[in-house]
Amino acid sequence: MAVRMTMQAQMILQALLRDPARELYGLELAEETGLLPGTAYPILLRLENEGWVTSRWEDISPEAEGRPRRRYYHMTANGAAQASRAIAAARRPSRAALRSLAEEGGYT
Amino acid sequence: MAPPAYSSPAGPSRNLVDALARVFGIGGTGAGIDFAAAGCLIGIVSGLIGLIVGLIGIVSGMIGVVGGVLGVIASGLLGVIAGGVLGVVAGGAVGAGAVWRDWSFRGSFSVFATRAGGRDAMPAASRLMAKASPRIMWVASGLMPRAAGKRWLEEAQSYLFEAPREHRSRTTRNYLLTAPQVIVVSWTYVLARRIRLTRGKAETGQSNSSDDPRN
Repeated sequence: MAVRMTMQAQMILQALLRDPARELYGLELAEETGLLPGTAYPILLRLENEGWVTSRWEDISPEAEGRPRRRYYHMTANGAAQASRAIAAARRPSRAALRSLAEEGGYT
Repeated sequence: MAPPAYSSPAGPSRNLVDALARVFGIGGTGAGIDFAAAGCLIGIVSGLIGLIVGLIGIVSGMIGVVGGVLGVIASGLLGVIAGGVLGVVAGGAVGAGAVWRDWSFRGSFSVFATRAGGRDAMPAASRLMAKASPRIMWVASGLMPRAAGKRWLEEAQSYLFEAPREHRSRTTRNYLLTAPQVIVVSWTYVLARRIRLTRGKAETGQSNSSDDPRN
């Protein structure tokens, strides 16, 4: 199943690509992307199933820390390369869009 | 004195009747043909064919009816389950959203606010919904594959614990609204993985059997 390059998916990928080695958890991702975690979750699930992103539970004792453990996400090496290409392709205007722009501008 | 032999002017031609009589091995009685025997034989053969065709028709009809009944039951059950699931999740999400917007509804929803005593009734409803939302989330997580549901719920709890207080209601609503999507995505991947595993096992089994030196 291919990853759909929606705006939200691109925002998440860009946040993770800023520093591919860095791990982000839900709250950080929400702050960086401006997306609510419920929206980000299904996208992260798809990216993870495609092998672009990997995740792990924080290795802490919730009782000792006094808070639930976090789920950390980060890009895989293969995922970073594929995501960069996919974002570049998504940003590239289609031929039809260029043609209609040219027609509007009277360049044809 | 014998009466004269009857010959029908509109009857079948003599050649055709003779040929039929020869085919079915029916002898003529003198110059005439035993029409009754030929007709009886043809009737029996066609009757047998009709019986067989009829039996086949009945059996296939019964199979069709059974299949149809099973299909109706299965599709009905699926419809009920899918409708119920989506109804519970969407109803919970809409309800949660409604309360968290402090009953500032437009249109038909404003009726509830008026009946409940307007804005004075809001805190009670809001408290009720705030109590109900973890339960709705728990129900929604139960509709996902076991591991995916557990992880979704745990991540939501973790986020909600750390999120600013004023964002919690909006976040919970968002989690509930996207729950059907998570249910679909997680089940899709679980089923796809199972199919891949089954195929992999089947292929491994085939290759093993072909590699087997005893074969």
